[in-house]
Amino acid sequence: MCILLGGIYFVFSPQSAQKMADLLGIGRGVDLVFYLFIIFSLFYFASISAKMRQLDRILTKIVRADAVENPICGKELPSKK
Amino acid sequence: MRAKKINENVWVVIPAYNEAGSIGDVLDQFMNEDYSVLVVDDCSKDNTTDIILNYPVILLKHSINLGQGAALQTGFEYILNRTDAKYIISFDSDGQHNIKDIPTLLAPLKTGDYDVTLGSRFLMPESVKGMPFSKKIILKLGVLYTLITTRLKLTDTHNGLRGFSRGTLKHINITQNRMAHASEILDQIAHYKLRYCEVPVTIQYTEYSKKKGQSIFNSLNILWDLFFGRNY
Repeated sequence: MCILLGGIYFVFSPQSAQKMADLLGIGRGVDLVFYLFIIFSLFYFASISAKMRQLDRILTKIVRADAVENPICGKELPSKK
Repeated sequence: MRAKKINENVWVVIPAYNEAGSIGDVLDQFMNEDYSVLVVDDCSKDNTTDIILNYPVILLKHSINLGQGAALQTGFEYILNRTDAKYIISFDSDGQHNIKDIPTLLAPLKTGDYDVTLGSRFLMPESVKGMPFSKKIILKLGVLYTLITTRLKLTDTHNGLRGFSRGTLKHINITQNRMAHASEILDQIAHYKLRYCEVPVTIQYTEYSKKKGQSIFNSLNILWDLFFGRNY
């Protein structure tokens, strides 16, 4: 949400982006916006990745529990619990 | 046909995924031996399951495909929680492994001096003959990787033939669902300072199993998984 509002702000007030860029020693206000976008995106990809690994773990737990709870006996085997 | 005598002491876990071409031959080997067999079907799309159910084995089924590491861990959990197994062997379903190597894996465990036995094809010259050169390179790189990351000096770090004693298996918790599990197991052996030894085993290369082998790109995937995966 903050990113969105920040982005909208920069669109309507390009001079503020320029002022911030000058402060940081970056050429143009637009460049600053791009750099911020890249940094934000990298963080976002990393957090999505972590979330996917977490979901993977949860899914594995569920599928494994189901498999272990429901063993199937092959032919000629006395019924096992 | 009389029911198969079950040896509760030794359980063999066989993870399987789309192995309709080889699982029958693999399970045939076990018909005249008295090991208890647990097959974990990782949601095969072919008729692997139907073939398995013709044999006196226990079958666990994953409702979605998770990977060989996950299938192995599922097998381990079932065996630890639902059986009285004293020794547990992991065995591949693609026909590369030979049941005659199981006693070789068990012997060091039975002395009580070792917690884990690891099969190595490089300790058996016949296994190395006929091995594609690219495969040899990949396996040797695996050995180097393991040496650097775990200090374990092994000759074969990607061999699915392993033996564990029951107490040891409680330390093993495979979280890498796919092929990085092989490195993860070694990582945990080093981490928990388990007593291990390598034993010579036969690896049979057939056209069928060569097609299913690891590619070099898979090795890169494995490195990626290991980098992000360590959580014990």
